[in-house]
Amino acid sequence: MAAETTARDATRRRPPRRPKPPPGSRRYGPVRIVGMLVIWLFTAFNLLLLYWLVAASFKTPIEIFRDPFGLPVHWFALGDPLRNYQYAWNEAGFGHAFLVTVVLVAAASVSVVAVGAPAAYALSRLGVRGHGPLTNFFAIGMGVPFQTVIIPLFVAFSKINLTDSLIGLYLLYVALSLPFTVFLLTGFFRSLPAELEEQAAIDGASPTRTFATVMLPLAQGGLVTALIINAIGLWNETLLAIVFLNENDKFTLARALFTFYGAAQYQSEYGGLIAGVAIVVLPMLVMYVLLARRIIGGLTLGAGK
Amino acid sequence: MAPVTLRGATRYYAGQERPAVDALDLEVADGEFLVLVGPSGCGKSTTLRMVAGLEGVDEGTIGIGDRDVTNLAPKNRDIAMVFQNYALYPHLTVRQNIGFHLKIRREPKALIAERIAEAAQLLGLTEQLDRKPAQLSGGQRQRVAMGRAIVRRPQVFLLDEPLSNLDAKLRVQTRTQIAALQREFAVTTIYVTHDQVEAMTMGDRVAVMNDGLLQQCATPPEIFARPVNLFVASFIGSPAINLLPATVADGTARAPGFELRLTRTQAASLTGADVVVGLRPEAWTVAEPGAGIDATIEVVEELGSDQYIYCSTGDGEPVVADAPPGVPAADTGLPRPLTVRTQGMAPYTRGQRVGLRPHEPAAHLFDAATGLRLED
Repeated sequence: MAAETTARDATRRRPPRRPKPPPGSRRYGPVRIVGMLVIWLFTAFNLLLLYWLVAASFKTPIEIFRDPFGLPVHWFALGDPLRNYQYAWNEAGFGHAFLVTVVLVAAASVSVVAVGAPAAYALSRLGVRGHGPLTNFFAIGMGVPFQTVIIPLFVAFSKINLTDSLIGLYLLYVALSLPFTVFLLTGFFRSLPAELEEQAAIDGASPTRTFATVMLPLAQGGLVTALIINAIGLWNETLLAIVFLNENDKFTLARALFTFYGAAQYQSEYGGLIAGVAIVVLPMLVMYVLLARRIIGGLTLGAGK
Repeated sequence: MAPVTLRGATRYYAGQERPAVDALDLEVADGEFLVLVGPSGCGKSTTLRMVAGLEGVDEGTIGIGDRDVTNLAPKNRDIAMVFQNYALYPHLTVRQNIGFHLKIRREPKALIAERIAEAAQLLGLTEQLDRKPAQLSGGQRQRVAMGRAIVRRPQVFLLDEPLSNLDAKLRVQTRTQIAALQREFAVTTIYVTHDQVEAMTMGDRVAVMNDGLLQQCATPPEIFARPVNLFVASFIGSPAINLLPATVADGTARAPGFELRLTRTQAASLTGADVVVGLRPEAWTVAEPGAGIDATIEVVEELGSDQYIYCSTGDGEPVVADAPPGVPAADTGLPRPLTVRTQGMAPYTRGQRVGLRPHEPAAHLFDAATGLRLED
């Protein structure tokens, strides 16, 4: 009889859709309501901007100004919906700039991580003499706004013929991204357990081998985070590209957009201009959306130990 | 297989006046299982890490076999170590973890595969060889760590509290397993633990450490039966030994409720008039009130096979001697109940008044001033 009752109860039992909150916590307190309101307004505003950008990149200038939030019609009706993108890509040199940017950003981000990871490992784990002050020295680098050193940098680079040169810009990107990368990865390496290195030492692995085969694979999350954050930052970098690059065939996307902006204003080529903005913005946005979880996981790892 | 010799091994930590390990002399015979035991911070792990080469040796020497390894890197010492948290490489499979050292040593692939299979068979890990550590249970991880040590066929095994992350039941099982493996391979082994049950059950010899100093190194029965000082007496044995202050006059130690005659040797080696009498919980007979020490039962712990009764003495005076040298801080000065072992299921109840009669031949006598044992 008892067994029967239990069996019947089991079929009737259903877990709650939402587990009960702990007693005393208010689901709709004032802080929570205000917080939710702010977050949703912020999100809605950004989504609206994104919609406007994408929609406008398919519109004619007249459509953009007359009906800013409507759907694009004209170019679709003419059967040439990608006209603005074609214009930006071909006429404004975005195609070439895209290639330049991809190569430059990839090379610079990979180099930054390749240099930064061993540096961070040595600073955080190898007990290098003066590792404390050295780590702080790198951290200070993050506090110096690069805008303030552009002029001395330009003068120095022009003396060694590295202005208007992609190699020069690459060197600048690597150097200026190192402080943050080293700082991020130092925290990351520090969070890895010391016993693994000791075990590797007992197993007979040299420090270099320990770094390459044990610590690097474990720091993968941190390395990917550093890579992505640098890639996004460098992709959007404009000021250095404007100052250091002169020739069209060396322009990065951000630099090309800047020139295009100047030209498009006079030609009323706003559709093409906005398509250009979309070409600059969307790839990184997509990359971020795809890898967001990884980036956030990497940034907060080691924070809560 | 080789003996391990520590001569005056000393280790200072930066910013510390006292050495973590102080002039340690210790010899571990070939094939012996030595357990290093002591409270946290006593220097036992540091000692192990010095043997492993993970800590420098500030003074003294360490030898393995006939080699002086004091300044040798860990990889050149021919040792294997099992860490408390196992330190398995999380990104490698069990197979790769176990074979890591052999691969670095560039052993032929066939030999590596053979050794791994052998170790996996021995430890019941054959099914798990292609899994990553995160997919294993605590016990399996522990065995992988053991497997990694075994495949090396080292001269010395070093084990740093390898069982402390396991649950109680598994710990007892694994304890037996490790001891059996050690006997089978007959590899010199140094095993660090803070658990005195592990120390007493596993080791050929037990080395008790406190404050960086070796207190006593002897076989488990010897340590239990003849602790050299108050620290060893109070550290080894569970529940802990009862320590009662007494005053010596005319060759007899007297405390309220009992008397104990000192032998001639004991009387001769005594430095003052005060002694501490150590009586283990099993060295008592419970009698009617009025016989022996008057006591009131405060707590009854029934274990089934045994029963422990915790008693306060009549006047509520602290039973334990005030801070005898070398006794852990937790054991000093505070009134502590007398612990007495009785037969399981005995009908004692809380609040009952009883008389406690010590079994005098089982008493350990210590000089209250020096904390040292008075040999009879």
